[in-house]
Amino acid sequence: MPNITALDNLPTLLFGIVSVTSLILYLLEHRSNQELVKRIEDTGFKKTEEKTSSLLRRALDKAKKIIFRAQEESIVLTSESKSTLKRFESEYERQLSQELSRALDVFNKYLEELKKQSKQAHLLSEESIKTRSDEIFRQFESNLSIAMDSELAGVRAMIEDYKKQQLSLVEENIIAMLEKTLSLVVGKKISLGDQIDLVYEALDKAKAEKFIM
Amino acid sequence: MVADLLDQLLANTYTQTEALSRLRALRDLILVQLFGSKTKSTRAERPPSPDGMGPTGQQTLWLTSLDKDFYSQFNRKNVYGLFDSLEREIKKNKPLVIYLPFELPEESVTDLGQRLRKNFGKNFLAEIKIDPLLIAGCSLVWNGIYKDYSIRQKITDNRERILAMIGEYIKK
Repeated sequence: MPNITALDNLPTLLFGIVSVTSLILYLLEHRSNQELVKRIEDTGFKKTEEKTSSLLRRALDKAKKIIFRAQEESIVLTSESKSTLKRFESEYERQLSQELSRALDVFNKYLEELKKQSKQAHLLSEESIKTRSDEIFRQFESNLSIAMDSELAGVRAMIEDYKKQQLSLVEENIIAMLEKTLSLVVGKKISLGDQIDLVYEALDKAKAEKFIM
Repeated sequence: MVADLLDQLLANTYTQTEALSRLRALRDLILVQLFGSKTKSTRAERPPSPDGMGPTGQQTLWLTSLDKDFYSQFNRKNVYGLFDSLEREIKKNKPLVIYLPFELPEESVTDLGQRLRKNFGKNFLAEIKIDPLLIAGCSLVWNGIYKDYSIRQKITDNRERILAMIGEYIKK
């Protein structure tokens, strides 16, 4: 950008330089002409005046030519610099647009890649969630079935215990009834002699077992 | 001397309780004989026995069954010593405790006592107690060990068989 500004000022600068140069030349010429005029004054005024005027005319022509040339050159320079600037601008635009489009392409490709990766990640996470949830569900099912089995086994064991307790109570009652019945019946049905015989049998058994020594 | 007296004392006495009771009655009698009527009050304090004859009744029969030689061995000097020794000997004797489901009559007690002495030695004493739950037969305690020979124990020993038989009967 600074280059473009310099290019813009270049014709003006050139024009300025040429003008200044022309002016300086003009002034130098003018001075020399004045000196010449003086000499002419000193040596012969008309001749010198003609010479001087012709010199002046020649100098003015030259200066005009120079100025004209400088103007032409400055115009040409300006146009050249403008065209150069335009070329440069267009080239710069072209390159910029190229770079922009390339960058856009790269960015779009990157976006595409990102989209693809995120899609993949999404699929993966969905799959892993599904797998994990399946696993959790299976685990839960197995734990539940184990807990239920153990609970059922516990309940069955309790029922069995209760049945055994009740049966044992019934058996106790049966035996107690039998003993009670026998105690009521035997006392009336067995004679004293038979009772005493049973006692003697017990004593004999005790002796045989060496319970009494 | 004490042994002879003990043998005579226990000749017709088969339980420890009765032996001690007879000894007390004998002591009362001999003390009265030796020292006069001062000891009469001890007899009056004793409660009457349930058979109605009174302790003096049955014991009087027994006391009169003892011969004079027996009584002549007691004098004022040795009476207390002898009775203490006799009591100690009776208490030292370990009786066989017999639990019966019924009350045994007196003559049956004598028969039982004689049978015990025939089987287990002279001066063997028993102690008869009542346990109606035995149903029939008896249970014995000897040296602190209890053994049940009654019908009740037989039922307990054959409990499973009895219950099986009842179960089969119910199924029919």
